[in-house]
Amino acid sequence: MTGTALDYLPVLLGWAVLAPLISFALVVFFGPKMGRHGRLAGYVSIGGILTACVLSFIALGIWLSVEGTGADLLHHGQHDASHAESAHAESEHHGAESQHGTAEHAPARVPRTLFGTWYVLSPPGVPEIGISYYIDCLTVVMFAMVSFIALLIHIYSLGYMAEELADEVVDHEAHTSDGAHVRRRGRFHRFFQYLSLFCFSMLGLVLSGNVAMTFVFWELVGVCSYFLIGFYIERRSANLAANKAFIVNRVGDFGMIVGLMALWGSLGTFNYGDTLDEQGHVVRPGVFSLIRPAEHGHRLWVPDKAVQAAAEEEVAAVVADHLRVHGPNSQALQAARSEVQARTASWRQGPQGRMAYWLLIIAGLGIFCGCVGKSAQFPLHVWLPDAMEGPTPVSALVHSATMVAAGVYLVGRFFPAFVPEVLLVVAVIGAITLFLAATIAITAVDIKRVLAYSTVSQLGYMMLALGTGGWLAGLFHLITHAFFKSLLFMCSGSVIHACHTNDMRRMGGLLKKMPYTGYTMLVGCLAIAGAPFFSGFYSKDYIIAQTIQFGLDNPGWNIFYYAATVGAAITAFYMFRLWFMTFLGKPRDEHVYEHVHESPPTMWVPLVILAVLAVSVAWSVPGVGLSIESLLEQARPAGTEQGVGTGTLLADLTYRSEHLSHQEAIHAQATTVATLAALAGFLLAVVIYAKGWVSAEEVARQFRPIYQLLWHKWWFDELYQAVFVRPVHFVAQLIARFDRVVIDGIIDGSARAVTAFSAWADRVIDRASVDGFVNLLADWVYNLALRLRTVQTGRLRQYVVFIVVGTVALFVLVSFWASASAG
Amino acid sequence: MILASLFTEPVGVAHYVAVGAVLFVCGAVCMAVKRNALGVLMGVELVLNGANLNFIAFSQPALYGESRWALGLDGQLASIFVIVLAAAEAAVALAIALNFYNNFTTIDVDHADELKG
Amino acid sequence: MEAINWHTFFFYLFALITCGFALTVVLAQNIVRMAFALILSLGASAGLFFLAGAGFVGAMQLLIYVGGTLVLLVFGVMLTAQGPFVSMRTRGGEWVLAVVVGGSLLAVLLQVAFRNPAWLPTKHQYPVARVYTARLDAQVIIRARRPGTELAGVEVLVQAASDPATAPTVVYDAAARRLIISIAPDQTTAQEVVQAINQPGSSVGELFEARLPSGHLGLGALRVGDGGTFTLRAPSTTERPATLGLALLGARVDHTQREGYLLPFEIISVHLLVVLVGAAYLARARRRASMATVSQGPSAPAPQEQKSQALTP
Repeated sequence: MTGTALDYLPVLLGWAVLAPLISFALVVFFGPKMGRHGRLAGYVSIGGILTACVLSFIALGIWLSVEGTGADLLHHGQHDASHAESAHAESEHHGAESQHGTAEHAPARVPRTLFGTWYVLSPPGVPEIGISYYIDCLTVVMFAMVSFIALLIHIYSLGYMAEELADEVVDHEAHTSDGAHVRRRGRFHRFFQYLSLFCFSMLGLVLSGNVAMTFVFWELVGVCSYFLIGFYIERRSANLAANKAFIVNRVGDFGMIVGLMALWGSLGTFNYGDTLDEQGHVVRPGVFSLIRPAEHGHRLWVPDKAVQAAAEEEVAAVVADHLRVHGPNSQALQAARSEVQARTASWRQGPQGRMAYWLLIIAGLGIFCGCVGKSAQFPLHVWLPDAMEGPTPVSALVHSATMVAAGVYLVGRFFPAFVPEVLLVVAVIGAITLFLAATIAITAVDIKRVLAYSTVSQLGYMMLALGTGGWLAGLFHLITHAFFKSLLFMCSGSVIHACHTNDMRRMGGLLKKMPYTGYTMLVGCLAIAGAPFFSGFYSKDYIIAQTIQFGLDNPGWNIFYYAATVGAAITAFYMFRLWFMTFLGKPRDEHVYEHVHESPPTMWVPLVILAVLAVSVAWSVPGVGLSIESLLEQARPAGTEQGVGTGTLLADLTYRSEHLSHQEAIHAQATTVATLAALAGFLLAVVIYAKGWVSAEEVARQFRPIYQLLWHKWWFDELYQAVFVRPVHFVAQLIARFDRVVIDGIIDGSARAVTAFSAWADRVIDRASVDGFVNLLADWVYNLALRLRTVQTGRLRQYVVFIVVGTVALFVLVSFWASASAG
Repeated sequence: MILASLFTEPVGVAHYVAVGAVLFVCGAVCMAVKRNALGVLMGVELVLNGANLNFIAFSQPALYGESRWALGLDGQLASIFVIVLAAAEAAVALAIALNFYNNFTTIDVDHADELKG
Repeated sequence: MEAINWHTFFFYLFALITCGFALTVVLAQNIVRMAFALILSLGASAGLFFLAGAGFVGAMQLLIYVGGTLVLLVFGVMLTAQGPFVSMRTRGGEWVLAVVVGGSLLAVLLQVAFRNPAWLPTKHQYPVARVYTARLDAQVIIRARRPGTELAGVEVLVQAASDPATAPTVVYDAAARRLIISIAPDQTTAQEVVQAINQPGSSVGELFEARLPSGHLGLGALRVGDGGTFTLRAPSTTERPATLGLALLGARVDHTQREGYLLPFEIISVHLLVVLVGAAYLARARRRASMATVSQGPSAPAPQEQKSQALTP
């Protein structure tokens, strides 16, 4: 179509998706045979992900060479902010009519996207579902990020999982029924097999070009997560955590399916992009083009199809009319179709139009519901901390950098299809999540749980950013967070590897013994806390600036700004609390301390690489202006540059251009506030944990109710237990009793009746009649044989005589017969 | 005179068949009266030979009043098969007889009545 | 007085020997004598085979039967010829029964043999001089008839499958000493053939390479009447072993409308092999170990067991 090098991208990225699948297949079938204890399985997996990584970076290079760095876009956008301001003011005058207006001001920039279908599953004639791809700059950046981090984590896992390279592994945390430790075979290859499958699923999720395919990969990453959380399957806690993760995600996915049905029912397509013919004309518009059609300047526009779907009864009446007049032929359908088209405009103004808008809201909320589950947002956040039962590389890859970020990615992908009301819900959920999780992280003592709550909190940040219209801010934070959070997790993994415990209360003073781990983790903490010039600093700035902007646009919604700021402070506090408790001070447990040692190079080298990136990933390349923001800016969905739009149900809900938040004033305010908040949190941590001027226990005692609330994680688990689990168990028991008593009773009764009948039939028919007949026959034969046996004398010579006599008799008989017949 | 006319008349299939019948009956009677297993075996040989003689006679067209009834070469082939089978039979029967003799230390077939009804 | 039909004479001679020694087999009480009589009987029956023109089968009879099977039997006799078993008396009642039954069978068989007119020789038919084998869809019967003492003519009947109406001619190639029968009419008369046959030193057996114009060999039998040049000597060209062998291998050169015997031949070969293996297995010495435990016939005294053990290697 374009005839540029971009045409290679689908193939490159397609192979990047398939490479981990190939290594997965290899490891599945030959894993245990790969070297001693399956050691080579790790290298096979690394080969797969390395291929994917290389291909992804080639794809990124191609993209950059063809499309440029996008730096001009970014600056143009910032420069354009004032223009957008005035344009917006102008559009306010038009009020509700602005929806109808064609793009009277600057034409919206349309990002370069590649969409195509490799294989169509649905038969011709029905809306298309297939294996398709949708590539824009976001896809390319996500590919690079996911495959690169996955590569590092694969390498790290070689060291971390080394203890699985044994014929017998003693699991100190799992017990058999007699209280002994579980002993089992090493499962090195199995770990890498799941890791490869996960990489395939995650990359496929990013590449997928329609919602159905996204959903399939969505579930694939879910099931990989399930496998990996339950990797230590002998541990009951791991089992429970895996089940919890899976079941909680089902709740979200249920909502997602509802959303998909709404989308399918109202739009009749799942494709993201437009299907083009050879000339480049749109044959079938995709979801985004339907909701933001180009002829309406990519503004939010309730699609005709949705309106017609909402006006189902009227459409049916029109079709019936025409069929009655013309008879059932194509002419009637044609006429009906044109009349439906003509009347759509009037329906749009009526209740049907409102209903169609509700359909869009339902679709958006449903899809967001799936994202809530996958990204562990309130109220489905409870599974992620428990998911830390899995091996730490899994936590680093699946449960911080990639899979949980997939929810954010999907919200970002669907951003143009979300109406403002949905975005507001996204923002509210994000704000609640970030605050809630951050507070819980304060009291957690399990090093990985602190990081898990931190992840939840940061994901809340991203949701908040997206929900307040900060598309760039949210996805930017996704990228930077992936780097520093995977770094933090891998550092914690290194610590756990050394200490054999997760409990921070038994650590302390490890910096001397583990310098690489300690300092790289410090870098991670600084990054997540938002220390200046670290990557988290930039992305968090964007978010806070966006919330400020949102508060300005929508008076009364400053709460997001406050939540983000307080969250930033708490983040800094609990992260440094973690670092101080782990690495500074005196060793609290001498026994643990004595055994601590620095991890092998396969573990700390990835840490160092990630640490460098955690600092620098948000920087822009001097001179060319290449940065993550500039890349992401290229992918900004069409029509969202000037703001998402204005709410219909909530008329005063306004989303204006994200670039407005990049104005100097707002940006300066955000930077200042964020830095101060982080500093405050840092100082508090220093006071309490580094210097010990204030005793943490005393503070806890002082604020006992709050401490209890946080310690028990806001009693969410208990609440769910009481509200959902108990009733379900109760109902299940009732049903089980019904099953046992009534249904089993019926079945047992009928079985008994059948048994009795067959016993009767056996006695009467089988034994008396059939057996009697057979026995009688046998008796006859027996008696006959008894008489005949006397003939068998056993005398050979007599037999000869018998033969001769028989022959003669035969002659005589035949001649008699011949003469009789002749005569 | 009778003797002279006997030798001047040609012989036909019937004469050969008559000789075969005598051999057959001799064999059958031999089987019936000999208590020695080898005697029985000799009877069998006689029976087979009688049958063989019939085959040969049937094969020769010149012996027929109407030669189209002759079996031709097929008769000779059948007789060859009979000879071969007789040889095989003799080998097995002799083996059986020897085995019988070794197990029962007798060659009297009247003692071989373990399978009687 | 008519000349003696030597075929008939020899037939009766051999038939007498055969039947006589067969009777001896039946009547003899001594097993060794029985074996000897059997040899003579079977040998004489081989003579009958020769007489009926089946020279090869006769040879086989002598080789296999007399030379092989009976030697086997004699071995058996020697291996079992213990005192009491050499001659075992049969009860008189059994004799009577056997003779009555056998006699009735013989009566039936003889009646059947002589009641079939096709099996009886016609008055003017002559003993077989030879059968020769060839390959064609035709059967050639050459009848040489000589009233009195002169060989007056040769009557040639050719039943050609292709065209029975064609009158054949016979040419005798004196140099090659061959009788050439051709379908197409020719000037050669039968007289020449007769003269050729009558030449001193000519034996009928050498005449038979009947050759038809198409190059096919014919099948025929020459009947020479009333002695004359008839010679009993089995000619080298009567039924040829090659013809029999080809028939066993599935190719019928004598009669193309009949099937060969390849498959029966194979089956009989395998059968023979299996039988011999089985015979070897049955006859091998293996019994002493099991004899100790397995119950035996009641009349098995221990000394005899040892004796028989000594007999079998």
